[in-house]
Amino acid sequence: MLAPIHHILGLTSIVRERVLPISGNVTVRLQQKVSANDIVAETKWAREHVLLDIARLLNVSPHVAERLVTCKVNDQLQADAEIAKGKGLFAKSIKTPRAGHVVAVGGGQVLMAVGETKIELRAGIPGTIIQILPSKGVVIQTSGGLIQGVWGNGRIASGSLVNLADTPDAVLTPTRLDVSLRGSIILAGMIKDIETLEAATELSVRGLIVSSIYPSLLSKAREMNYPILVTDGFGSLPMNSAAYKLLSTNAKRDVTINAEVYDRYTGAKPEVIIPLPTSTDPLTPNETEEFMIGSQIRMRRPPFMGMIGSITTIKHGLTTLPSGLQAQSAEVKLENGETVIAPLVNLEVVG
Amino acid sequence: MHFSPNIRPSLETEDTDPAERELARMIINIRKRQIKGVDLLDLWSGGHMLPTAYATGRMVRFLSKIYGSQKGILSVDVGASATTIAAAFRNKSTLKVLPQFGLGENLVGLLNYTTLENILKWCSLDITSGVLLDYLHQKSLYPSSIAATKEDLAISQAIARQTLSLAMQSASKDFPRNIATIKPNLTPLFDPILASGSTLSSASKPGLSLLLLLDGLQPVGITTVILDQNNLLPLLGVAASQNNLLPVQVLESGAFLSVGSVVAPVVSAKYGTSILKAKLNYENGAEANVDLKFGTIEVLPLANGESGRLTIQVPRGVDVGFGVGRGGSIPVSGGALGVVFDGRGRPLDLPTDPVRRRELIKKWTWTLGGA
Repeated sequence: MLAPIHHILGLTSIVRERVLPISGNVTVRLQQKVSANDIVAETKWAREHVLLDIARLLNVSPHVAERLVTCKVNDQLQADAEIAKGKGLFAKSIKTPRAGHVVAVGGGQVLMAVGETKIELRAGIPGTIIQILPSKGVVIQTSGGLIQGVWGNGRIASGSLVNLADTPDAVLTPTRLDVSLRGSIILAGMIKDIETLEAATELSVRGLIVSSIYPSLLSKAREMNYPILVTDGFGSLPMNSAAYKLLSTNAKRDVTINAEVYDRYTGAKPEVIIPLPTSTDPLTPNETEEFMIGSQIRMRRPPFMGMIGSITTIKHGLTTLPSGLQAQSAEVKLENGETVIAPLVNLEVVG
Repeated sequence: MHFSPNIRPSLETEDTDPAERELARMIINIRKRQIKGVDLLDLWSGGHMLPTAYATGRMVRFLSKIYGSQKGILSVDVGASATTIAAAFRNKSTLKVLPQFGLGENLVGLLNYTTLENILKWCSLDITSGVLLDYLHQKSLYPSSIAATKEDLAISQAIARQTLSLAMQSASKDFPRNIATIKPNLTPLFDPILASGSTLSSASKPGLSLLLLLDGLQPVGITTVILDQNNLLPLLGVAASQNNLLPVQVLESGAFLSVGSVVAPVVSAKYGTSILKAKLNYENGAEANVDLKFGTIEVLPLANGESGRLTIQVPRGVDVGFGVGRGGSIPVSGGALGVVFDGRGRPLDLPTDPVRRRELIKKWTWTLGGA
């Protein structure tokens, strides 16, 4: 059975494709070094469309209206620009309600895209441009440690990592935050109150890496101007031991948080990257794995949610769980020595 | 830009089929861009790939023509990405895809349409709203994960009930007028009801799935409930265009699990009042009786593949589909549970006292063999 993978790796080659949602301009060149916040491509995107029914507005047939339309596809028009005019002494004039460009003309109707906004695509990770995808984006490569999370607030930043989580189940409170942390990325435990998020803003921290956050704080967390990456989930969950060990042993190093929102179609997850110098490119992590005896896994649902263990047996057929449901399951030896049975769909391979 | 023929070629005629086909094709093209491998699958299928909901809707229309009953046919799919409700009433059909009521990635968005308290009212265990909120967020991270503990299962079933109830309310707004009903504000008369989706099909016992459907849909009158445990209905909807005999053969093969016949009288009475008497005559000459009290659920066994004749008598003020205060006799077919009598009234009114409510939910679950 194919297993979902959650990357927590001390040293790996990280290759990320960064692509615009629609065609645009790539602003970097091949082999260029970029930082996480550099813009690598940009484009314009209209969120709204306006359909102007010229035939109805001029009270003529669609066939007649087509001859009266003066604009054509791809015309860039200002607000109040004339796009059709009726016939006669007191001919009615049809003007554009807003600035925009013409998407389609036909059947006595004009479709306009309006309200254009600029989209800037950032690199997301520091590294080297190894491929240009014309009009779409780039492929970036770097080497270092990689820790994926489960939730991010959509922001990107780099800075020096400071460890404020003495243990994986530590709770970050405003009293732990002082001016010495200004400009740092903070490794914290759980966040349980809004005051902590606000204190971090006042302090101008560069980012927060937390094990869990209360769901009620998510809307506030999205508003913060620094990246917040959650490694394990929502509520009161300690940080999984693999992520905690890797992050805490890399304190004082420069790290990058790309707290992008999880995208199930592209598989993009929020992640922390610890750039490390290497003489040769390390191997890239596997993108597909199968559950096997010895696989290091993380539990994704209760009981034992967030705990790391290794598969000792994959059970044949279906196993009845304490809930009464039946599922293909495995015996897992947890880090605390306990052996438990868990359905495979509730596990993910860590590696 | 995509064009399809006019959906209202004249004031009296509405034909949305060509537009729906065009939309279905557009969805496949979008998925081809989003998900690697879809283009290959579409190629392998000779370009016959269809969205699940569209194919389900097509199959429900097909079944409606086969059954030709006065009642409608209902299909509900409570899935991770959306809840889909397809209904067909002879020549008219509706299809509603409700991504806001999906039990996966969009689960947290459910709170835009309901409250934590309204979800917890369906829960058989004493769960706090904080635990439920954490569950909603955590489950949205891992839509394919399943409930491994009793507490998780109770929460997931409560969410599914509320989701189904909201989805049905939303879908029923599009049902055509002049369809068979007992009361206008209640669920119309449907027979059969086909149900699928991970929450329903993964339930450990058919009784759990049935109680979830009875609570969420609140069917009225006499109906048959069928579980599509392997999610075959949309596949048959796609296959039907290539081979119109195949769906019929699969339907008759026993690939679907009949849970049984359900009798749900429309009545409002005091708890414990007798609201229905029924006699089930088996093919072997044996008979079984039930005296249904308000607020309870009763079951008469009738195995899968067997049939019997059910004779119903109701007092004044009770309607089971034969008219108010009128009884009748009908053939019924068996299923995993047999003939189930839901005497909890319509609309279902749960006790406000949480302890009493949880006791009743446990009792109903136990009666249907889901404990």
